[in-house]
Amino acid sequence: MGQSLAASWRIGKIAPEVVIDGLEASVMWYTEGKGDEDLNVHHFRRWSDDQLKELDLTQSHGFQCSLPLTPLSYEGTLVRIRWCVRLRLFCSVGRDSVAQVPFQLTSDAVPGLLTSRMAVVTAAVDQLDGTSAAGRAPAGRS
Amino acid sequence: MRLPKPWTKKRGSRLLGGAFSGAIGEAMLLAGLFLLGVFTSALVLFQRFAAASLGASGVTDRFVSDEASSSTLGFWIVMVLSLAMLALGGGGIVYRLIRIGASDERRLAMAGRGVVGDQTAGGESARPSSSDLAPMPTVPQGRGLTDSPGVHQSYRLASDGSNQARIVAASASLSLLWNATWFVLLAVVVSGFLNDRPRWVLTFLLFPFAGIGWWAFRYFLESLKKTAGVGATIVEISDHPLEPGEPYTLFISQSGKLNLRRLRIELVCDEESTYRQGTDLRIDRHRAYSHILHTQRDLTIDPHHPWEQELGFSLPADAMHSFQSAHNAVCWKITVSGDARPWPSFCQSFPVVVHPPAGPPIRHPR
Repeated sequence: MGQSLAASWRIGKIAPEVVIDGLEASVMWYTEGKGDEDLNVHHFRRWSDDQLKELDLTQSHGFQCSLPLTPLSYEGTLVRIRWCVRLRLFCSVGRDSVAQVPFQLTSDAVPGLLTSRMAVVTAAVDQLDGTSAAGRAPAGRS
Repeated sequence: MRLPKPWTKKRGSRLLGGAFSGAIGEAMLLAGLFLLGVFTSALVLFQRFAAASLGASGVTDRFVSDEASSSTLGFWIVMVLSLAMLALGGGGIVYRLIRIGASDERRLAMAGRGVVGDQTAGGESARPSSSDLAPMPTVPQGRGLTDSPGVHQSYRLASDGSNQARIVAASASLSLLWNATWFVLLAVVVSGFLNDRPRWVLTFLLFPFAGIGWWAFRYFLESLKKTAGVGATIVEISDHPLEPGEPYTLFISQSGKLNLRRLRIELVCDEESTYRQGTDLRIDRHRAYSHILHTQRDLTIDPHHPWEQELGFSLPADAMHSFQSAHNAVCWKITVSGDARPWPSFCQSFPVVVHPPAGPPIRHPR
C-alpha cells in the first residue's frame, strides 16, 4: 500500500423534517472518457441511522485509509482516471444526497511533474441546508 | 401528464420515465416470467406423471399439445424452457431486490470483500479486496512477458500476434474445410454413378464448388508465402517491467528474405476504450505517446544474415504506468514496422509493462 489518506465530513444544518437514514463514505477511483465507465471502491464506510444518532453531525468526523500505489490520476484523451472521496447521505425525504471531493493520487518520485494537492469542496444538498464534505489528499508517501 | 413513448430514441443520459416506474416495470416483467415458468413446468410435470394416474388430462391438453408433452423430447424442451424462465425471472427479481436500498459504492464494496462491522470507528467498513491488496492494482502483471530469457538481453518479448498470422490461419481453415466437403460430395457422386443412380444436380454443382475450393487454396498459399517471406522479428530487452526515467537496452533482429524501403522501431503508448454503441461493442484507440527509436531506409535482408541492431532508450520521467480495467486501458509497446518488397508492409507489436516511478521492488528472476 502507498500513501495514507485522511478525510473528514460534517453536516452543517439539517432541516427539522429531515431524518437521516444512513451515511456512506467511499474512497474510490473511476474512469471518464469515451469508453464505458470503470470504477472501483477502495475504501468504504457506512454509518447506520442508529450510529448517526450518537454522533454530533455538525462536528467533523474523520476516517483514514491507505491508498494503493495505482492507478495514478491520469488525464488522457480517451481515458481519464479520477480519484475522489464520495459521501452519500440517505434521507427519509427526497433523493439521496451526494457530495464528492476529487483528489489526485500521484507519485512523489517526480517532483514538479506529479504533485499531490489538497481539494476541499462544499456541496449544496437540497434536503439538508448546508451539507458539506471535505477530503484531504496526502502530501507524501508514507 | 406526459406519457412515456417507448419508440422515442433515448439521447444522452436522460431517462424517459422515472427510475421508480422503471424498476416497477422491470420487476413486473421478471415476476411474470417467473410465474409463467412455474405454471408451465407444473403443467408439464402434471401431464407426464399425474394425469395418467388420474385419467383426466383435459385441462393440460388445452395448454400443452400432445406432441410437446407426451414425447420425451417434447417434455424436455418444454421443461428446459420453463426452467430458463424460472431462472431468469427468479434471478432477476433477487438481483433487483439486492439493488434496492444499496448504493453503487456499497454493492462494489460488498462484492468480493465483505462488509464488516467496525465498532471502534463507529461505522461499518469494508476490507480492501484482494485486488486492492496487490502491490499495484490495475497494472497488468505481465508475468508471461518475462518467461522467455533472451540471448543478447535479459528477456525476449512476445509479440501480441499479427493480423497476417490470423489471415493465414483463417484461410487455411476455410480451404481445408471447403475442399474436404467437396471431396465428400465427389465421393457421393461417384458412388451414385457406380450404382447406376447418378445425381445430376449434385454433379453439376461440383464444378462451381471446385472453383471456390481452388480460389480458397490459392489464397491460403499466397498468405503463407507472404508470412514466410517476411520472417521472424525478435525483440529482447535488458529489464522488465519498465520504470519511467530508467535506461534500457533493446536488441532487435529481423530475418527473412526481403528488401525494405523503410524499417522503423518505435516506443508507443496507446489509450484503448471499449464502449457500446447500440448493440455493437466498439474499441477506440488513441496514440498518446510515440518515440521513434530507430529508422533505416533501403535495407536488404537475406535469410542467412538477419538484420540486427542494439538500441538504448528511456521512458519519459512523467510517463503514465500501464493500466488495465474492464473497459479502459493504457498500453505500452515496442513496434517494429517495415515497408517491404515484394511482400506487404508489416507491423509487429511487443507489449511491455510500465510501473509507476518508485513502485515496489522488482524481482529479477535472472
